[in-house]
Amino acid sequence: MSDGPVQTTGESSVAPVERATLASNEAAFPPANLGAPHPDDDARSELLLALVLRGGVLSAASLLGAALAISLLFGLPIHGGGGSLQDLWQGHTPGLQSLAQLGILALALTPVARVALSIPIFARAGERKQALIGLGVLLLLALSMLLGKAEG
Amino acid sequence: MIPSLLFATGLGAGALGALLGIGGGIILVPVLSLAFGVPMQHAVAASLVCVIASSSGAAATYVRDHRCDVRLGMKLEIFTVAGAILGAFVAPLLPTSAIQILFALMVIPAARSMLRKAPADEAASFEGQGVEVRHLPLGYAASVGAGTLSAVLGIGGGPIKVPVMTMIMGVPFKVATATSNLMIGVTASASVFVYLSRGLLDLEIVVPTVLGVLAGAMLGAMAMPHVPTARLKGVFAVLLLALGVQMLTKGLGVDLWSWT
Repeated sequence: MSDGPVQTTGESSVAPVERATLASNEAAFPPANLGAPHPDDDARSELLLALVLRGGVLSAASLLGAALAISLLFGLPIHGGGGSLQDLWQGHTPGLQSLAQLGILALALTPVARVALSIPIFARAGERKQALIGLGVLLLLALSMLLGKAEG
Repeated sequence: MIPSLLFATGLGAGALGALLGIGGGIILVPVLSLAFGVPMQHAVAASLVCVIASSSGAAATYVRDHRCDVRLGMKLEIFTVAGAILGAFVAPLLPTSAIQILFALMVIPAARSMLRKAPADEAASFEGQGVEVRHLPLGYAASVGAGTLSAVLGIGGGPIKVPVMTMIMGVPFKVATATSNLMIGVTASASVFVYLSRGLLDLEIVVPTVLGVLAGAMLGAMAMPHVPTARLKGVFAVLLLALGVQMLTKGLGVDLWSWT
């Protein structure tokens, strides 16, 4: 996170002569965090985002898979009456159902985590505009959750 | 017996969703309610969870393999989420049946032009990096419209987002479906939190179906680079046509569900 700002302040204190050399170097080798991002940084940011998605999907699948396996093996029904998230936190939800609810929670958090983590990931790669876009999506998402209805 | 059938249904919907960039609600809601007798409200809630499963399961592969345009997807997300919020507000003020009919009149010709050949259609492989995008501002405006329409009509965004990207913005079809896959999970998650917090999910239905969708989405995403684009476009056109007919009958007050 701290890479970006440190480099910017360093750059502004460079003497005029050095600046000129920097500028001529930039023409030949554009640095990764100025102008168009370097292709390697692009790829790295995307691999990190893919990792977030994969992690979320795998944790959701393990929780849901465990719930289904236990339910089938022991002949227990998963559904024990519609418990809310509040019941889940307070421990009022039966074991199997809470396992399944946690799995769905992990799944629902996956796209949100992808958007939220894209902010530091893009910021680190010097893609400030893309990080701001991520922040915008996150804020609008929070707004639509608060309003309680929005599909699409 | 029932869990394995639900798993199989999810598997098919997840694979198709991953390939076409749609959440699969267009398939899951009718199948769950007609074939499994799940009440409509529960079928819609379950299918929204499946949209996230299909989106995240497929996008994990597409993003890793650089098949989708992550940056374009996130830019459009801002506009579709904003549109969805707008839609939730304006929906009660709008003549829904008139919009359903107008939407059908728009989507049926779109299905036709979806079948028009593009130069990149012959190749099965595709690359989401460095895609040239045309008419970006028009694409943003259309994305707001897509978000609003999804909220007003109660449909997933995929069937609108993919045509917007391909027809208006000139994005290759497969890149558009992969990018749409990335986007649709975000908007669905907002709704799922609401269902989850109120305890409105029928877990007995949701758990096996979602597991099937996750597996199907991963398989679909793996198969994508090997499926001819023209064939996918054909299936997409059929789904658009079905959506158009469904909206037309709804708008005209014919209840398709009452036939069963």
